[in-house]
Amino acid sequence: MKRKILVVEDNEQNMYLVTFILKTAGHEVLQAYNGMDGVSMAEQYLPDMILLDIQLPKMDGYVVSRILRKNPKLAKTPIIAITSYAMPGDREHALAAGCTGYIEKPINPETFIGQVEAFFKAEK
Amino acid sequence: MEKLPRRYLLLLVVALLSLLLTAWVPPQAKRVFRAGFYENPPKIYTDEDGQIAGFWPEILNYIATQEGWQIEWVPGTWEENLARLQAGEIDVLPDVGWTQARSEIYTFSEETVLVSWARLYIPPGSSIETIIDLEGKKVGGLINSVNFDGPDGIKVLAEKFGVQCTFVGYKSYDEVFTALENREIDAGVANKDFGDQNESKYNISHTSVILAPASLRFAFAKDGEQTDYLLQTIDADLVKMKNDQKSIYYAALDEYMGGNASGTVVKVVPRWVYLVIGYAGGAILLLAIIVVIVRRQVVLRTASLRASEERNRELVENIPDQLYRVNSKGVLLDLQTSHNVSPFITIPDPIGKSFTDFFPREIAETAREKLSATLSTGQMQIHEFHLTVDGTEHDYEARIRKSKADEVLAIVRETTEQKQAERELRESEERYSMLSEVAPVGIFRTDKDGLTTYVNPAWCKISGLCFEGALGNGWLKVVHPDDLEMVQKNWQKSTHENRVSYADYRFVHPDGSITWVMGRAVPEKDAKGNVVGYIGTITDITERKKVQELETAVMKAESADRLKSVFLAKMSHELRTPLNSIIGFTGILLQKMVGPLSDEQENQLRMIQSSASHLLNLINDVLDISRIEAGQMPVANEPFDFRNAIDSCAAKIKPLIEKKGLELIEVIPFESLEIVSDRRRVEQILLNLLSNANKFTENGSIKIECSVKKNTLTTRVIDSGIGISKEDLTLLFRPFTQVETGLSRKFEGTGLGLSICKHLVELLGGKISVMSEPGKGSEFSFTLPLKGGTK
Repeated sequence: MKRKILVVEDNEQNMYLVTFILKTAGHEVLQAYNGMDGVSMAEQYLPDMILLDIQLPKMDGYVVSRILRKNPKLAKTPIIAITSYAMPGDREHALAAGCTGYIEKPINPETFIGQVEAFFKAEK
Repeated sequence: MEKLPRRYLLLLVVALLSLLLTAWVPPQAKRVFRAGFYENPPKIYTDEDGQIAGFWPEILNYIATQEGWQIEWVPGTWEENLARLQAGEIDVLPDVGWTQARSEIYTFSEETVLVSWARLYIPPGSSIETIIDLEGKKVGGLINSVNFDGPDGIKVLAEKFGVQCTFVGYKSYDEVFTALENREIDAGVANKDFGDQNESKYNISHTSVILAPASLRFAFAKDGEQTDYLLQTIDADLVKMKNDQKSIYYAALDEYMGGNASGTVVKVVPRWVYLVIGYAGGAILLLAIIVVIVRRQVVLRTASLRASEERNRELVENIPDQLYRVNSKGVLLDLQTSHNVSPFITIPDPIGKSFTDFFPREIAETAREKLSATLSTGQMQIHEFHLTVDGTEHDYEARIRKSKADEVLAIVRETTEQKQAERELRESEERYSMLSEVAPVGIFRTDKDGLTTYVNPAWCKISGLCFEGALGNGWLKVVHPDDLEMVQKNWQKSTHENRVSYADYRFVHPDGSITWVMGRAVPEKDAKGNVVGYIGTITDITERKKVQELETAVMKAESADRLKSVFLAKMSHELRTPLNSIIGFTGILLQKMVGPLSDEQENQLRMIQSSASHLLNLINDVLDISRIEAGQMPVANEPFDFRNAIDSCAAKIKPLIEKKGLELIEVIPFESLEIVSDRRRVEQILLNLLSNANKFTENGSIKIECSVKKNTLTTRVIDSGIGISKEDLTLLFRPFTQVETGLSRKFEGTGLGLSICKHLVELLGGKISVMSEPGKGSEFSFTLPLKGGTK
């Protein structure tokens, strides 16, 4: 089932990687390279899911999540934080900021799509 | 006032008459004199018919008649008349008191016509009796009169007596008396001739104050054209008149001055009469003044005597001393106390009674001993005794002095309060001393120069020095050499500036052990605030210092550890970002998402993937183990669904397992199970065990089994892999050990995974264990408390 997924990620290679995997799995991908763009694109295109990197320039992922959660149209959209295992407390903060769940970096191409799709399953 | 028109009428008549006369009379016509006139009955006044009458007009008219003069009376106030005479506007003014000052302005007749003096008059009921009583009062008088403004007048007199009063000048005695009658003034001065006749009319009374005796004469204008003539003529006529008892002079005296005025009569002949009267007047005046002065003295003396008596009385009543006269047999002869009652002899009429009658036996005996000692030696003896009087405790001190051969005087004073204070002080001192002896802190005292004078036992125990050794500057010998300079400087500064001293320093004991102390000293001051010494404490803070040192060490270590953690976190993050790409893209290629690969390409890509994964795991594991070893591994204690966690892990591992052709079996007896723990760590443990199982299993299955018993959840990961030998099982959970299988490095891994798992399980309050048989597989199991656990 084709989904519209917004990826907010500042690292170009990671963006390429994630986009490639998602597209290969047959999903439509929207790209935002910073938090501000992430917010505006989410509000404009109302994606089915948002993959949100936490360490972003200008506006970090927590702030993006909080802003998006205030929008009624995005209140139930899965927001998946891409957290860094190295930074303790990232996950807790992410959930507190309204994220639905998290996927740990670095992503594993073999399991990544399964993880993403598991959130769609959980949604139902 | 109604007299005025008459007076003018009269003047008009006289003026017309004089005009007529001058018209008629040839050149040697009558001389005309202008005489000043003012109201001063009975001496000079306007009578009921509007005629100018009185003693002076009578005489002057007589002389004028004798000499063929014509008198022109010019009315005015006393003050106006004096001014007119000075200005030469009138030729003569009767009844002017002679003074030195006036004699320079006016020419006086040689002959004294009357001797008079003034009196102080008061409204009825007034308490004024003497000049002293005029203090602060209002006193009226005739302006420019001898008795008011003159050298012996009331103003000068009051000043001489040092009496401060207000003076109010009036234009006539009539006005003065009216003012008195109306009580506008408190006292008024008038000549007694006026006063004697008029005081009853004005309803006022006189005082005994007599002043300004004056020789009343005729006064003439100083440089008047007719002055010489008038002077000679009037003087000559006066002499004649005074020498003739039947003259108009005496008749006028009788008529106007009356019997009261007999003393005022001045006769030229015989001369002694005048002298006697003069002396008498002077004597009376002198007496009056003396009376006034004496009165004043008496008043003052009386007041001071009364004050003195009062003081003495108070002194006697309040004096704490009681006097007892006692004879050699101890019999009380007399006593003198504030109310002639002894505070401690309670029997009635104690005079004549002996010691044994009013003292308890013991005190009586001592009293008798002291009594005989006083009498035999002549030396004063002190007898202190304690008595219960009316239920309260009292202390007394008797000083016994020999007063006669067989008599003593005992001066007794109550000393209860003093004794009580002494007792309290002693008790306080004892308490202080006891406290100092038993206190666990070291206490020391020094003199004002800072030299030690006392140390308590605790001080000795703490410093390791004996009492004697501490005295003076002896204590400095056992101060740690490294602290000595600081302690000395600090102590010198404190004693120099008289301020509170603080210092932490060390004592070295004879056995070489060291005691840290916290020293404090405050200046000790006497009642006047002068520093008399210092009192201080030392507290053993050795333990505290040790703890402090440890704390410092720990803090240092902790800060180093924190630094390490931050460094590792940063480093691992920076390493991981490129790794992310490497692993990701390698994975994509290997999944042939991009396109087909040759076998060799695939083989080499797998090598890249393997190395990258190994590097990633290494980074993560190093980070974990370093955190665990530093005790810095944060562990959450939050509720989550354990089933959900297992599913999440299974999802991750499933692709890998299935890729190897293995089967993942889940035996989980619950759809969901909420436990309180750290989800992330639990998943880390599960994943570690599952990937290990996957790693060492070539065929068969990997099974996840869960069971709940009481409050414990047990999770087992069972594989059908190569298994582990017994010897290796013991090394399994140590870091950096991977079981040597003979196929060294065949299995990727850091060798840290199980070690981390063990730590994590224990951090979460559980236990991890392993059962294995080589060739048959392994079973790893760990427990978790359902409701969370502590480390």
